[in-house]
Amino acid sequence: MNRLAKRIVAAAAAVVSLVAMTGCGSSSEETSGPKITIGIKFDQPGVGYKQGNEYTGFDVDVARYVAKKLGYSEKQIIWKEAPSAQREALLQNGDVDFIAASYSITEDRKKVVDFAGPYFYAGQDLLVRSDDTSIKSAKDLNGKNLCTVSGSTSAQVVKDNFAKSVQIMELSGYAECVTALISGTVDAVTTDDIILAGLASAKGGGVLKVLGQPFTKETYGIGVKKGSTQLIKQINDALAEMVSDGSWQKALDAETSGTDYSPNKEWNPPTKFDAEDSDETVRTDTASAK
Amino acid sequence: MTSTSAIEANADPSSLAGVHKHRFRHPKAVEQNILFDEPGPRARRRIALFNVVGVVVVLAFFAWILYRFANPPMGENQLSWELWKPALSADAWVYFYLPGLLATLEASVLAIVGSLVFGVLFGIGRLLPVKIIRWISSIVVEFCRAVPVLLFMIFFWRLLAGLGFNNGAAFWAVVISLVLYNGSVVAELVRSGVGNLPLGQREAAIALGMSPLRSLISVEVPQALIAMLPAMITQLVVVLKDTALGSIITYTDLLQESRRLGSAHFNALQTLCVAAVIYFIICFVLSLVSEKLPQHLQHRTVGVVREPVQAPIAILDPSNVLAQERASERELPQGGAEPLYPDHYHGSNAVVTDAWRYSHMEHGHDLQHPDEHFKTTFPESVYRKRSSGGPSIAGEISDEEFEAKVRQLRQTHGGGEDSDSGSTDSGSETGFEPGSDSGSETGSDSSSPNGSSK
Amino acid sequence: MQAMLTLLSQYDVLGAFWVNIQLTLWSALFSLILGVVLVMMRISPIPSLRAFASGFVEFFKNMPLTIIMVFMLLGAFVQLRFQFSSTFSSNFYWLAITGLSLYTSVFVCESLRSGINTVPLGQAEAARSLGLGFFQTAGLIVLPQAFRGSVAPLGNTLIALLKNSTVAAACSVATETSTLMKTMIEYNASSIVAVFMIFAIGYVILIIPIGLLTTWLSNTLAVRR
Repeated sequence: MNRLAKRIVAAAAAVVSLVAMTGCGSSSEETSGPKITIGIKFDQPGVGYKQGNEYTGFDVDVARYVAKKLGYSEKQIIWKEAPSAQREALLQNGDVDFIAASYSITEDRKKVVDFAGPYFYAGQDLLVRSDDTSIKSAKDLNGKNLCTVSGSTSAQVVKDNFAKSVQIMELSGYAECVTALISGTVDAVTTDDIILAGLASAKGGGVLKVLGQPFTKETYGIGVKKGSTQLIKQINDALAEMVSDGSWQKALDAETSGTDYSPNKEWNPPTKFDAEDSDETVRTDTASAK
Repeated sequence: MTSTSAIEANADPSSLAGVHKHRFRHPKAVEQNILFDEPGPRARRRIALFNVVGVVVVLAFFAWILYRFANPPMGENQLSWELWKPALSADAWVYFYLPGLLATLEASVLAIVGSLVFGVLFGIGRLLPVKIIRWISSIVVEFCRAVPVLLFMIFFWRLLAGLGFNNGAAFWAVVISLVLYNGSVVAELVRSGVGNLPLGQREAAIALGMSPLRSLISVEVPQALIAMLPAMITQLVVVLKDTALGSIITYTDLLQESRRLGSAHFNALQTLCVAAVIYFIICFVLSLVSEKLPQHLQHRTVGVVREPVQAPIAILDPSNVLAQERASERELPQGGAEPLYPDHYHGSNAVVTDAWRYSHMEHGHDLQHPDEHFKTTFPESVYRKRSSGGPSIAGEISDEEFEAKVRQLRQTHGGGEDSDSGSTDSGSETGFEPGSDSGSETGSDSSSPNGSSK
Repeated sequence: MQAMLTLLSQYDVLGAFWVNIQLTLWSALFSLILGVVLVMMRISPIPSLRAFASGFVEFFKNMPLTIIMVFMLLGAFVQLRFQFSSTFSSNFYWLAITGLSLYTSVFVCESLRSGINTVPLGQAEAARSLGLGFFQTAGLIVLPQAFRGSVAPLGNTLIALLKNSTVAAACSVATETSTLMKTMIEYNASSIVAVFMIFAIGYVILIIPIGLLTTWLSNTLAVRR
């Protein structure tokens, strides 16, 4: 029985070491120093976009700047994809330290996560085919098909306020929505104007256009785990500095060059970084929105 | 599920749909079917016509699909090189497919190793003589088999995260879920594998002084594992396919990476095609291996190595193993490779009691009533001599010859069709237990009194 | 236990299970039909049909269900414009059923083929000597017996199908159990175990009767030979 016991122990040890080896293999890219994990979009040109091993976009620039101010160099940042449907989960799980992924501040979300910022005011808009003249504004969407990504609230806003009989399709990424738009399965894609502009310019060829009539005010904040007051303060300080030293404007210009998009000048750049105190969030009284 | 295709691949045990070639004179008739007559000239012409029509229909279907992709009602040509190029470029492989494939394989390998450990532990647990352990093992195994893998994944993903696993919550959720589900299937395979071993193995081990547990671990389970290896490779295919569920919980496997690549160039369909081809090739090769493997493994075990069996279906039902057997046993009527032991034959005579014979008859494996059985299986001369119990008489053969003779008779036992070897007219009173040195008392009194009473 | 009851009263868990059951029943029906057609093709005298059927089987057997589902969405719906209904949600529902049916039909076909192997050669030979043609032999003599011989693997397939119906989430069917469970966990992170147990027990309750019924049926229906 003794030898048998030894063998069992040996087998267990072998399995454990194999498990440990594979486990180590998964966390590669070891460099020195502490790491910070930041959640961004990987599939939104102009906002958060992964090309090979390069990360570009306005959110990425902001996140990079904030990380630098928090004391992390470029090499210490681990970028992680934060799809819309999973942003709260990623924060709650602690998979990421903060999220800068076109994350609008809403009351619902503030129940489960905390926000720093805001760092940008966008507006929800529509992306349509250039040759489609039937859609002039969100009101024209009745009886049409609208695409958005799962977990995003933007399509519901349209349905509740402008077009009761619009049909909503939810896909896992905006690029897939664009494919559906081009193929005619849907007639419009809705989300924030800055994202739509990025998509239109990435697709190229002038096949798509942004309507240019934002009907909501989206407040982009940086999502952090509930209760991280200290981190929020540090991030807000970094954001204030980014706006004041001109890096904010520089980043925005760089990321939207080549498109005819310009952010709403009344709102931008943000001056108060008080996401946690303010009550004003999504504006849905959009009759007055320009 | 692949049990039948395995048969075709082996070409040894032939099925109704493909009878062994030596039945036909025509060498081209390998794939010949017995559901219809050997076609005559007219039928052959008709088949040729249908064949052409069939080919045309199938090709037309694919052509239509391709045409629709190339000329959609709206939008762009999905076959254009513009869309395919980024899906096939070197960058795509280096940054997306290969890391994704690596992640998929990593999770699969870890999961199959883990489920092997889980399966062996709980498989043995279900065989132990301690009631409470048996019950716990049974409940765990049945529970894990009933819950969808996706639910396990979502649960463990959030649970691990809640417990503070910052990185790799998704990875471990995928691995643990796959271990639980596939481990429970392996546990069943181990249990049925041990059940299929000849009882003599256990008896011999116990006669050597091993404890029942020791016998299980050192003798029976290892052989059962070898016998079950093909089924386990099939399970690996299942694991590999199920890792794709990980993409739903943000695990960056091959599927997730390909969708991500598709997002960059608005060609998700094309990148998905590439991922699908990769998945298909790997799974297909593994399936082939699991079909070819049984031939190479048979000499390592006395259990029956065969094509992957169905995981048994009966939940919390002790007759589980038999149900599984029944699901896969009837490949023989078509005339194939005879397994070393018939499915319901568990080794030495010890288990061949009248009750066993009776249930065997009840389940329809054997039309003969137990009382009739012994007489027809063994020629009268054998048991008459045996029952006389006296010293051996004229025409005596050696023990070896006798054992060989009996073994031969035993093998034809299942069919019950031949009783032409009635010339065996000798026996020694000591030699009746063929091959098995188990010396168990039950062995002799289950069979011989039956005979001697006649 | 208390937590589970509160959760049950807050969310429409039964409704979600009903969606899965419906998905399963429709897919079971269609995959059974398609599976029978496939198995007929595989044993038919026409080589091109045999080749097509075995190619079809190999293809879907070695393809992850998740990929099939995503293809139904992005390929069949978005590009090829297969439409079952003008409402999106019922469209996704039927697309999911199509995907599940395609995937499952392969396993139905394989189960039936293993069932065909239980039918002795003599049956088909006798049928042929009576002058029955292929369709008569297959439809009247062999397949009925094959069904009885393949109850166990078919039951297995049904259980797998019920569990696989959760993957409809990958095809935008948002009302089924896995999606609901995800939502419930998101808003009740503290009682995650209770949420999971609700769904797990639900599936155990659904699957145990299928298992028992299958065993009973396969014992009852097995052809005595």
